Amino acid sequence: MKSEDKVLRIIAELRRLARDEGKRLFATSSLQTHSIPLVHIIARSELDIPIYCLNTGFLFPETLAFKDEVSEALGIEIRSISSSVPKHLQRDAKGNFYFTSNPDYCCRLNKVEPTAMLLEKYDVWVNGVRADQNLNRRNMKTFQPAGNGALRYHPVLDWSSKEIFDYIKAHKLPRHPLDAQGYASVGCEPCTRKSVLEDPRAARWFGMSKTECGLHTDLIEKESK
Amino acid sequence: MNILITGGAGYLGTELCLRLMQRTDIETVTVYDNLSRKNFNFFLGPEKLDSKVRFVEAEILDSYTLEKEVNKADCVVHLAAKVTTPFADESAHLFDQVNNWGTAELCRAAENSSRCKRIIYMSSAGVYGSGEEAVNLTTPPNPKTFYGISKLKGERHAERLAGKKEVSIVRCANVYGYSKSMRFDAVINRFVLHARHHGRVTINGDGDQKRAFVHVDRVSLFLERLIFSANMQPRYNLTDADHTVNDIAYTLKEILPETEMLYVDQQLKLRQITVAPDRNVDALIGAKEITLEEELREFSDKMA
Ligand code: SF4
Repeated sequence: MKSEDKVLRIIAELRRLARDEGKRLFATSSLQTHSIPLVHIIARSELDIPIYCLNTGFLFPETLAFKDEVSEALGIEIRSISSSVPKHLQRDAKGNFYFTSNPDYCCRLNKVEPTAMLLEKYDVWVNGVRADQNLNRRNMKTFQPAGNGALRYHPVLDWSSKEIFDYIKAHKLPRHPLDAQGYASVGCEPCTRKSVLEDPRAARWFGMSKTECGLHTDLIEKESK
Repeated sequence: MNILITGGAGYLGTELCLRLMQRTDIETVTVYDNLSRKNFNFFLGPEKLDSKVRFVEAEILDSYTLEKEVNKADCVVHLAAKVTTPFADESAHLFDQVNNWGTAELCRAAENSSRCKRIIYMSSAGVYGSGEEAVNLTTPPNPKTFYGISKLKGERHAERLAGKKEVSIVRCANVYGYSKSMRFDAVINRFVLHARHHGRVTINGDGDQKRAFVHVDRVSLFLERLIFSANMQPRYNLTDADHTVNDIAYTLKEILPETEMLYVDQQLKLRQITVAPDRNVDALIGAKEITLEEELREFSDKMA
C-alpha cells in the first residue's frame, strides 16, 4: 500500500473511533525524530486528540526544546505529564536514583504509572510502536487491550523505518537536535548513549537485556490475540 | 516582588538574603535550603532576619515543595548545589543528582509557573576546566571535574528556558570573604583562619597555580542588582581578579608576619584557571577598587 493511502486509512480510523464511536482518544509521543510522523498525522486528522510527552524529569533538555519546536511547527499542543512521586523519594537505599540500581522501577514510577493514570481517563491510547523495533513489538497487534478497559491503537505498527523517514522528508518535519550528534534513539539521558552497533535501540539501557520501559510490556493485556 | 533563593542559607545565600531583606520593593525573600551543610549560622548573628524572610527546609529534589515555592516567586536565584572543593570528584552521581537533575526540576517548576519570570542560575568558572590562557565568555566550556560537568549540565536546563523566561547564567569564580556562613574549604578563607589561629598555612603543590577569585560582598551585590536589572545578560563571568596561591599566602604574611607556609607535594604543578574580567559585571557593580592586601587585612580583623 502506498504511504499516503496508509496515512489516509489511519486518519479514517482515528475519525471512526473519535466521531462514530465517540471514544476519548489520547496519544503519547517519545518526541524522537521517528515519532513525529504519527504526531503529524494526528494533527492532520483535525481531531481533538491530546498528545502527551512523558516528562520523566530525566530527559535531555534538547528533547524538551524539541517538544516546543514540534508544537510550534505542527500547530498543536503537546502536554507534559510527570510522576507524582517527587525526585527525592526516587532514591534507593544508597541514596542514588533508581536508574542506577533498578531501572525497571524508575521506569515504572516515571513512565508506566503516569500513563496508567491517563488510561483511567481515556478509552483509546494511540502510540507509535513499530514491529521492526524489537522482538516484543514484533508480536504486537494494531489494536490491543491496554488493561482496565482501555484500548491501545498502534497505527504505524507495520511501517518500516524507511517509510517513516520518507514521510519525515516529504513533510519536512523537524528532527531531534541530537540526531546530528549521533544519537539514533533518544530516551532519558541517564539511559541513553550514542548509537552503537547496527541496532539503534542498543543505544538505550546499553549493556542490559532491558529493551522496554514497561509502557509496551506492562500496560498491555498479555493474553490478547 | 517575591524572591526565592534556593540554597539560600549557604554562604552566598546568607549575604544575598541580608541585602534583599532591606529593600522596600521586595515583599518576601524565601530561603529554600535543606541545611545539608549544617549551616545553622544563617539563623544567628547580630543582624536579625526581617519578617519578610521565610525559611523553607526542603531539598532541591523535593519536586513537590519546590513547585509550590516557585509558584509564589517572581524571580528565582538558584544557588543550591552540591559543591566540594578542592577535590570536586567525589561521586559523579551525587553531583549529577543535585546540580544536573535538581536544576532540571527547578526549570520544570519555573516553566510551569506563570508568575516566575526571571531565573538566575549560579554556575561556576569550573565549567571552563583549566588552561594557561584566561577564559572569557567565548571560551568553549571544557569541565575537568564531576562538579564542573554537572554545573554545565545544569546550565543547559536553564538555557532551554531562554525563550520563555528571562534567564541569566552566572559563572562564578572562587568566592571568599568574611560572612557568618563562610566556608572554610575555600582557599582564601581557610588561609586567613589558619594564618591567624595556627600561624601556618598549608599549600598543595608548588603554589604557583593561578585561580580566579571574587569577594562574597561583590557576589551578593551583583546578584541583588541582577535581580532588578533591566538589561540582564544571558551570561556573565563573575570574577574580581586572578591570584596564585603563593600570592595569597605571601600577602597574608605581610599582614601576619609570623605566618609559615607548609608546602605539600611541592613538585606538583596543579591545574589553573584564570578568568578575564567581564565588562558587563563592571557595568552592574563597578570595578573593584580595594587591593587584596586591604581586603585580607579587613577580613583578618573581623575574625575573633
Ligand atoms: S529510561 Fe532510565 S531514567 Fe528514564 S525512567 Fe527509565 S530508568 Fe528512569
